Amino acid sequence: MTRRWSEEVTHHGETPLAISAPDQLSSINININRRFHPTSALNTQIMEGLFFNIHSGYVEGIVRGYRNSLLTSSNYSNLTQCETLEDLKLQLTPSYGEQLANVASPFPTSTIAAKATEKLVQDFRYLRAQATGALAKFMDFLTYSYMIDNVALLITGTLHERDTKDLLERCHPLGFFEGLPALCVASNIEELYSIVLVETPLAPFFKDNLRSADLDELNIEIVRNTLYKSYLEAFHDFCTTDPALSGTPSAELMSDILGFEADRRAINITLNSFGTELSKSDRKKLYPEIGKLHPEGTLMLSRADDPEAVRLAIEIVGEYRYFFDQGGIGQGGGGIGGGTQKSLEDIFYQKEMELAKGTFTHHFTFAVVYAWLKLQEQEIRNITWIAECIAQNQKDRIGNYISVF
Amino acid sequence: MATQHELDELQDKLNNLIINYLDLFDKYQASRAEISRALSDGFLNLAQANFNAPNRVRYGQDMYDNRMQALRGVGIAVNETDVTAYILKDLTSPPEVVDSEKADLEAPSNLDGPDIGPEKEEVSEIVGQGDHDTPKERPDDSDAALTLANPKADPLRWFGILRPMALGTAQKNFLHSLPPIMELVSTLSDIEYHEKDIRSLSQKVRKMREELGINFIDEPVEETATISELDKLSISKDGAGDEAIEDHRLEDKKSHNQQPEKPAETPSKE
Repeated sequence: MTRRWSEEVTHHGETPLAISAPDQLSSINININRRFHPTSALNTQIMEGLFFNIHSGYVEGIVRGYRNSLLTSSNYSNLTQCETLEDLKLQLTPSYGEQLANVASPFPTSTIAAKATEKLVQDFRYLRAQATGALAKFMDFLTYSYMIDNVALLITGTLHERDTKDLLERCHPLGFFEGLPALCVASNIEELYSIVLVETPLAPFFKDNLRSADLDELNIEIVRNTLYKSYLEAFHDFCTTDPALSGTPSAELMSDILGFEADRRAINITLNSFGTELSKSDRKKLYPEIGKLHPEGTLMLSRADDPEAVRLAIEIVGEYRYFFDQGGIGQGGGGIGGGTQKSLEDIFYQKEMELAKGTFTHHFTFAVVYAWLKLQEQEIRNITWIAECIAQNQKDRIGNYISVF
Repeated sequence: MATQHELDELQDKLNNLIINYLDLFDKYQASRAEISRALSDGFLNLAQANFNAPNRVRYGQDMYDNRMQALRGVGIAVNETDVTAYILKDLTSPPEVVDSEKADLEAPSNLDGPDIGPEKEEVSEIVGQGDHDTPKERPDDSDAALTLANPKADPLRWFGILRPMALGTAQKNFLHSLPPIMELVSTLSDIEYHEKDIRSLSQKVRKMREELGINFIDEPVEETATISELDKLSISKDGAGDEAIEDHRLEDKKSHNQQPEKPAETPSKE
């Protein structure tokens, strides 16, 4: 609907100005022509900005406000200088004061993570309540990834004979859905689908994933990653083809972000699968069919046997190649995660955060919600990391957090 | 009646014993240092794994397998000199064994006291070394120690197939803390044995000196006090660590208590 209006407005709005511009309007006219001219898509885009605020302006405004309250590098440097968790708590008061206020003094680092997540959930729910139309659907898509994690958590826990109640408490609140507790009854993938997931938003992601296999660790991993693959593709599809989104900055930004996410997953899956029982053919099915690496890169990734082969596969994308050279991979014994050098994972997170930060330079886009969510999640990870380093009195690596502001 | 010569001989013996005793202390401290290094690296890598967790997973006891079984036990051997040696034992019978306690959160509870009994130790997950079922002396070959007779028993699997590499590194760190723990316990029993000897010998020396009418100024050694103080010191040092570790420990003890039965592996051989 919005789009049709905007097209009309574009049409009517541009022509009269161009034809009957009096002298005083001529400069505006030139301006408008310069900005509006090249393609009609761009045309639509800009004019749509005029109407974006009717539905989603408030949410966008709020998100930008949230973004301003994210911790900056000076905040982080203050945090890293804390000597005890108590100090850390004090430093976090401006952002997380409300959540941390009632935490009794000797507390484990996990409490900080839990409390910070609480805030994230609260903020997200507020936004979701305000969202309508395409934005509401967009935000629902954001929650699906949490649902997938919860499904994996629950079926893994059931396999490990953990207490269901315990497990439900551990589930991410954003990924909670009605049938979640019932997941525990499933013993194979087919049951999982037909008993529980068919009723949930995750059902479409199962379409190519259905096979009657027992739920063991390997299959759970496969289910999780195939679900995630389908999710990313569906989300990408939604962002680029939905009438309310196609041709808008949202589509463009989300396509980039999701493409990057897909590539990162493909690379991580490949690297982490070395030395596991995940077969190459199974692995190939887990690569999302979007992103810069698809199709050549993923094909090469699917044949990779060692980090060196991964490097070859991703050479087609200059940026990733640079990441590889930067990151500590392929240096004998799989040096990821260790040492003082930044790991490949860290570099990917850094890149993701920069993409998210860049999103805020655009206006009239849903992508800011996604970006904020990612930035906030990273912030929680950063805080937990710093808290962990403080608690363990290991200050050498405390600076490994990722901050972009 | 004792002679001066006998006294000298005895005193030499005592001196040698004390030198050995101090060597043992050195060994003890080295083991301690090694253990704490391995553990702190392990915990930091665990934090790193959580930092890099791809699926918002928090790697820790949330993901433990309740069907876990011990992969490793402790064998106690008493040698002819009455010194007890603690030996790591592989408990995995290749194919069907499930999983065991995760070492990372388990290991610190081992350090609770200096005299770790076998029943406390056996749950520690150290991955089986190859196929051998016989008790083996401390695995010095760390690479061999990291291969499993039954890969399905690897507790890393609880955390999924595609987990961050830092988690694997953390496991290795915790794993490497086990041999020094064994060493530490053996050293301790050795120290105790030496103490007994020193005490009885120094008593003999004292008696002999009295008989010979020699005045001695040096007090007999008071190792017992030293040793227990040392242990107390190291315990409090460990205990004063961070809350997170403390937390894990507590929970760990709980999970210990829940364990249905502990395969107490104590095949003593003379």
